[in-house]
Amino acid sequence: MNRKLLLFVWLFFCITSLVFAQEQAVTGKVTDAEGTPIPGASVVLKGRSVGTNTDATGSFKLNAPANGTLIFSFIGFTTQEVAIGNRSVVNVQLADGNQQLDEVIVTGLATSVKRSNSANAVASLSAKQLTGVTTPVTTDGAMQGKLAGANIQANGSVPGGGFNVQLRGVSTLGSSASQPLYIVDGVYIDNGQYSSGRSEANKAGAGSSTASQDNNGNRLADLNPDDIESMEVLKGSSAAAIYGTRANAGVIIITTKRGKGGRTNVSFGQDLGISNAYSYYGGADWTADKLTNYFSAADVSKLQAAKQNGTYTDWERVIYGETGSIKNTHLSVTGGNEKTKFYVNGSASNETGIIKNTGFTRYSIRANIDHKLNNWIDFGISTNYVNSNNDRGWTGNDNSNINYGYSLPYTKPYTNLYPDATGVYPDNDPSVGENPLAIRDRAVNNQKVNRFIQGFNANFRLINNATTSLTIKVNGGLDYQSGFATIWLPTDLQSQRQEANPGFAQDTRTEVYNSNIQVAGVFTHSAMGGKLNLTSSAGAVRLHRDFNYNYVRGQKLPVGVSNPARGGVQSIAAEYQRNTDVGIFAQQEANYDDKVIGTVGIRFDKSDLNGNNFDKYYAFPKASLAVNLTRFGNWAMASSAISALKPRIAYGATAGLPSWGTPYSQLGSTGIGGLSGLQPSTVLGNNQIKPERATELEYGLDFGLFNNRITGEFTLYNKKVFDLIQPLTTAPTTGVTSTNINAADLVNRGLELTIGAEVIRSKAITWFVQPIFWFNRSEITRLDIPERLTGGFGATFGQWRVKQGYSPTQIVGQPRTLPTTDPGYASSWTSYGDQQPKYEFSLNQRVTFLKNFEFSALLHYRHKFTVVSLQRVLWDEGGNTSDWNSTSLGLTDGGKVAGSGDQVAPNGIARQNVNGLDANGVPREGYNPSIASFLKMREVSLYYRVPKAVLGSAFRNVIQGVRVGVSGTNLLRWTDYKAGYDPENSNFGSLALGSGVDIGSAPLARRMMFHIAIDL
Amino acid sequence: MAVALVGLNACNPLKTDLVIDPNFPSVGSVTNNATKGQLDALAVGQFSLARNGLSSYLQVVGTIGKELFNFNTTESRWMTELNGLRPIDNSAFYNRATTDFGLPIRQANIVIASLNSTNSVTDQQKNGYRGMANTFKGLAYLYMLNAQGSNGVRLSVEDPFKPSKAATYAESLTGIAKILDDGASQLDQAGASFAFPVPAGFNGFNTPATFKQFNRAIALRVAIYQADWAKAATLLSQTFYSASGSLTAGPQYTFSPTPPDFANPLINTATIRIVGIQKMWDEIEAGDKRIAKVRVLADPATYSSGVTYTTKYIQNMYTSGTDPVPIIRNEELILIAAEIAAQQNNVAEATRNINIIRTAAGLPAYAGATTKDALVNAILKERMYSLFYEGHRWVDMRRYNKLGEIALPVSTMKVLERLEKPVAEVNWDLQNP
Repeated sequence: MNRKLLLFVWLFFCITSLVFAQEQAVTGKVTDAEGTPIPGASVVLKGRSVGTNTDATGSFKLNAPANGTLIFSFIGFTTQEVAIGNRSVVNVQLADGNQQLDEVIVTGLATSVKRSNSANAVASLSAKQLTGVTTPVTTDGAMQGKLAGANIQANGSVPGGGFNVQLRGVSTLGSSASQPLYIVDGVYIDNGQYSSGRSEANKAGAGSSTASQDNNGNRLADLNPDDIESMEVLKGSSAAAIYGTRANAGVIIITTKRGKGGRTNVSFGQDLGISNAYSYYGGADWTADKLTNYFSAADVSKLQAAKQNGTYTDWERVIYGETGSIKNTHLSVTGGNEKTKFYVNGSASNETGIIKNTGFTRYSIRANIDHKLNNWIDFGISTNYVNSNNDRGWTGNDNSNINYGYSLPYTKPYTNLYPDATGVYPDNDPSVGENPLAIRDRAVNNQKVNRFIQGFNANFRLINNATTSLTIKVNGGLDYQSGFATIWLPTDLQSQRQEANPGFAQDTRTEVYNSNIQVAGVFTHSAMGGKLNLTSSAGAVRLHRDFNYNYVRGQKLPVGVSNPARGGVQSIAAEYQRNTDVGIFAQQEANYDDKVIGTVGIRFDKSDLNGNNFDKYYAFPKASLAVNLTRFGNWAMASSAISALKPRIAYGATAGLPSWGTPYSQLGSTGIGGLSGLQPSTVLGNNQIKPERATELEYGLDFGLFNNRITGEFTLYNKKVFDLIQPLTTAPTTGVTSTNINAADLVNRGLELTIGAEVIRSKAITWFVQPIFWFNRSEITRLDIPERLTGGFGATFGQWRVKQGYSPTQIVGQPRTLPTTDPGYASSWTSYGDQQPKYEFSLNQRVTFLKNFEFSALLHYRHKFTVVSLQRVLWDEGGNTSDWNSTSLGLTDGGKVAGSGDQVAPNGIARQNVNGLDANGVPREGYNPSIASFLKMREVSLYYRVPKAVLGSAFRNVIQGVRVGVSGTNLLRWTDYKAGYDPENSNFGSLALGSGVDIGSAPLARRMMFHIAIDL
Repeated sequence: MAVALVGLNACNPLKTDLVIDPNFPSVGSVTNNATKGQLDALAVGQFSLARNGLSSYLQVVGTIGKELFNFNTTESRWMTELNGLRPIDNSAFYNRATTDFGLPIRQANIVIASLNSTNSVTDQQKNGYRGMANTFKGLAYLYMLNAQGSNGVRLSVEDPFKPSKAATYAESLTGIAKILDDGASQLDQAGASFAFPVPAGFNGFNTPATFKQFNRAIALRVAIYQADWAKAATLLSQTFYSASGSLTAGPQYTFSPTPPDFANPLINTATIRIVGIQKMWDEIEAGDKRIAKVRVLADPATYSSGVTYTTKYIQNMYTSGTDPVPIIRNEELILIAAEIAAQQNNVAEATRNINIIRTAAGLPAYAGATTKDALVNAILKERMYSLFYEGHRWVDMRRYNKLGEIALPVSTMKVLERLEKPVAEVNWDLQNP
């Protein structure tokens, strides 16, 4: 440190004298085409990193050389370059523009570039795109359908999130992070899914899989989407290379809103809404014949009694038929002066689900403060405290009759479940084992989080003259999260009374602490009379993660007691993880007259997660080149059609770290007869483990037509992932079931096309459409372990196959295709397609009309992807599937096509035991995975902005703006998926391979909201 | 800002360290110079691991042998796939024998390897650890082989990356007998007492000499599977066989729901309902006290997921999480004594032993035919009731080639001859030919 400090002090005292040569003060005002001031517009001196933002009156002031050029930009407007030409006042009118060619995007850890000069297809979403249409519960939900190259899947419909975000295909086969790295205002934030113990309470984990089936939200849910100003998505290794060792699954950089100075703005917003189930699945009628032929004849009298006295009830509609309520309130204050700017936002979100006693509340307060100490030092802090509270309910897999998602399919409509006058819930039929209403009303599955995210940045502009600048940037922060999860199954529940130790209560504490700090120097130099701009940056990064988890579990509880410490049988657990990564980076960017823009860079990273390789640096190089063809000569001017044309190419490398514990061969504790013993884990550690490493070559063409009224971004990529960590499945007779080794390579190839067009642009009406099309194909190119099946619930229902030459997300299952005598018989599975869709397409539209109305709609289509579903299996076995009684399939009991003389069985019977493909190669209805497509109207809204003139006369200008509107989520859906409620579902959370299994799920929820926003 | 700067680790911000696992001790810590405390912990682990996979094993072989069914409310494959109504799945949860019993085998191999590289106990004491470990290793292999049948088992798995190929069924039995014999001779040289603590379930079998009787009882099972009646007769005398002793005498697995121990996994729970086969218990002789192994339900239980079956009998052997489970009992030894005698055409000895069991069950003396076949069938029938839910019916009928004589509770059901070789074993061989 000492040498660096000395250098810093030297720079401090010796070089500041160079600053501010030959400059003058320039002031001015930025307005839109109608003369309304634009606050927060960016004003930058061309070729330098000197700039400011306009205040609330649209005014700006900065020092600049008299012969300089100023660049004015703001999201939603076309950027303008204006030569100062010795003027001291420069007023500018910006023209509307929907395209984002001029926004600034990240290219390095300390530098950025204009989109029109970027060599990567970096997707970005503004606040308007994320939260401007409807209010999403969580940030990941707000991205669905809006990003080319992103496969974003909801894990369920319970409020509080739970999303699986896959950028550009598969980046790990499960041993490294499958989710992107999220960075908020320079802080590396945690996005884990933490266990509550629910899978232990309902024994969901007792079956074939050890993966988490707690159905929890991921912790991005704590971030209030309303605080986000913009989001940049570095989808692949070429764009994310400078983030090195944690960036294999992509990097999402979130910038929150900040004060713009000037007049203090108070903004209040309120959403009120409802949610309900999109569709139901059961409802088949019950008759005496049905009971006698296929179920229990002894129940006929119960059925007749229930039908007679009117207690025959469709319990699915009782449990899932609630109307959820949505209430979001936010109050923000922004303002400041020349030196200090602030943004403070307090928000409360409260949403209940379509199932009683499920819901999500989040209280968030944020203060972002920036201060300019003097002309060469500024700093800022971003502070966010969040309290969230999530009741997740009881859907998904179960092995203990607890989850209503699992018991409802089997519950007969003639069984009474309502509590009696004294509040006692009757028992369900013993074969179902539990009363779903009792679980809904009495069982607890709650997760609370208190979270504090603190970011800081400080910039020291040591040199700042006409041709040269040197800035030292220090930034970082911490993310501290204290989670508290409660599970309670009361002792007197029907299911618990059957247990040897009835009652289950668990108190789980999860503490996650992330901190990161980065020191970087950025040196810019302008040569060739300002035509060549060079930016050099270098620095170091250190990241630390501390994870502490413990729980107290009590069983054999006294009736009515939820404190686990009162349990007659108790267990505890504690787990500690700590991890440190270190990185060094350097990057050189060159821009020749906005014609040719090139970047080279490298990062070196080491991490103590790499076992004995903890002190070894791994290198991650990058290089990119973009050429703005329209800037060569004046051919583009001559052709009025082409306004921008930019071929680009980029290459980069990233990595993914081994998950915690990979190097260790553990001895676990066991006991018998009061004695304590040791026994080995069935997983053997590997301390020679290396990170998973990816390289990506991305190339494409960006274009603008008709003065950029139509813009497009076309990208092809080829992302190769090497040294993927795989369990070498040993012969289990050895007592070792697996060890993790660097055993596989894969490649993702894909195409992304985003087009934006202002179809109509007139005073009366504007119509903007944005079609996005993308697909990804993955293939395993090397596999040094035996092919294996993973995920799901066994080959009968479909599993993921890891096999060289095939996609890692390929789903296979019974029956086998070779005769039993064939040596390849054992692995000759039937293929049921791929979990990744053939392609995705979304269409975003925005229409403004009658001056103050705005209509938006987002349609999202996903084509042909495979879903492993056990949902219909449950409903068929229970006799309740809506088409159970129908004989429309024309099959016999056993699933054969009924010939003459054969008895045709009801669909619900005929589908049982059915596996395989039909004559057309389509999976038969039965136990098989389904191949499905869907079209969803993700978002739709209509807003009205009360004209200023009206406000002025009505409220004497106290109220600056009022916007009211209505919006909805999932208002329309089409799908050919018949094996469950919705093809978007995951019992296994965000597992890299194995997510997206539909079992015990709840209906898709549709949300409708009314919004009002008032600016003072 | 100050807090984050503290995270810099003060002196060298680029330094990283090797992180020692803060959560578990490592296997490496016991394989060299293990202390006596570590060896004892491994020994207790060996006793504990002997229970690994017990419930899955007994319920799977019981289902296949049609002595019991698992009316599992959340898993229909117990009824369908294990009863041949749907193809058997070589990667399913029920096909765990090599995984569940592989771990105690590895534990035994770790114990033996640790003993070879430490001087913390005497050579005599070492033989005690070895004899105990080899006994449980042999037992684990025997369970594994019963499930895998003609697939055989891999007899040499010391190096997890170089396991031997599966031996034939006959070779496997020979190999298991050898492991047990090694254990027996090590126990012979282990002195008067074990150096390690022995769980209470082994009271009466907690010295090298008495533990060897347990070892010989397991070896006896192997011998009758081999149909080596002469050897079996020799082994019988080395076990705890007692014509006048308690039928329940024998070592037991004990359980406790308090971790790190665990509760008896054989009890019925909300989802796992082990039921008796209707026909088998309907046909039990009047007055047979063994009917107490099941409880008669007022409302018969019906299973209707994938297949429909009704029975009024539900298992009643284990009702508490602390109920112990016998490993091998005197009752089995007496029936084996009867079987050896029948095979050696000693009708008097065979009927004498059969009648010990029948008298204890409150039944009149055996009055059936005394041909070898008749006696064997009579013994198999007594075994069916005496050893219900102890994992024998299917194995017994298989070793006598009588799987076809098992009454099918549902006519479309089949009796599998063995479980499929687990997919992980298949793939290992494909990859390492």
